[in-house]
Amino acid sequence: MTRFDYDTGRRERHEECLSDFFEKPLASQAAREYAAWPSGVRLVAGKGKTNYWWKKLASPRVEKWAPQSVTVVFPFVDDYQIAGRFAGSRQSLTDLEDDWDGEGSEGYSDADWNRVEEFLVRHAKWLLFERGIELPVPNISPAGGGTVDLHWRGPQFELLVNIPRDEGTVTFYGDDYGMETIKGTFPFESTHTALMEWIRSRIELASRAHPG
Amino acid sequence: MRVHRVNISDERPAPSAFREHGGGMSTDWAKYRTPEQTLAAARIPNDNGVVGLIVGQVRQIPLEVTHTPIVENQAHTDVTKFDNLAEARLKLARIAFWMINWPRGQ
Repeated sequence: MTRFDYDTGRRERHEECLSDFFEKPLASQAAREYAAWPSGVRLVAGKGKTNYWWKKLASPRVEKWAPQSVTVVFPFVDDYQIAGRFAGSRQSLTDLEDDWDGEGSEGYSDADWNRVEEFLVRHAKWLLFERGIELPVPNISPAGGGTVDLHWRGPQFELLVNIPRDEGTVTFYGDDYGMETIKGTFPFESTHTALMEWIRSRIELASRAHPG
Repeated sequence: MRVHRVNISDERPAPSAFREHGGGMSTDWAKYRTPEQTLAAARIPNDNGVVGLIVGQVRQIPLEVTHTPIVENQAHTDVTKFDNLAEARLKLARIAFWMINWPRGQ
């Protein structure tokens, strides 16, 4: 995390601001909106005389907001911020009670969501830190036996990852709508870097096919 | 077969709609039941749509399709042998087509 103080140079004051900021509802609002931002956009946050503010800013430009404020620039690299990108499906999943479909399907709890979130954050962090690519937000939906499906469907590839109810085995299958496929299983607690590499290669192919 | 609204994404049945209950994925053979009858058998019909699957395409996945009539449903048909669950469900979602959309009127 990089911090700048254009007015006082007091680093301590920045950290206090940042800590306060993330306890405000505004921070989660920012995290939710970030899901729709293009790659490379950063969040700038600070504290004015009376309240907090934040705005989007394309990196690497750093802006000074107002004479009384501090300006903080940080890339989206912590778990909270990454998790915010996937949080849109949380309520729709955890609202499901037992027999939600009239077919006897199991309901979902906060613990189930936390497991899905942990999986997504772990893989998204690897892709971001190691390859500088954001993991696209999948469709997250209830599958059989209390498991959860993560489904990516785009013009260049389609991928389905099934998260088990307990910390068992993850199963996945993906293809490019043609001959190139990837499939397998792995323990829930593992980070499947080959799968992330496959997603990266699909995303890069897509960006080359449709630059900009 | 019925698809609950929770398992619909971008107006398409999601792979999560295709799952086994008790060893097989329950469907209705169109020879014995209309889509309207299949929908009416849901606890809350308004929460569901109905999709169709061509048996020949299902068998190419490859999955097994077996007519397994039960007392209350002569049309009952099981789709089984989900050896690679993720692959099978993703491919089922691709070949499924709407017979009764959810939401209605589209």
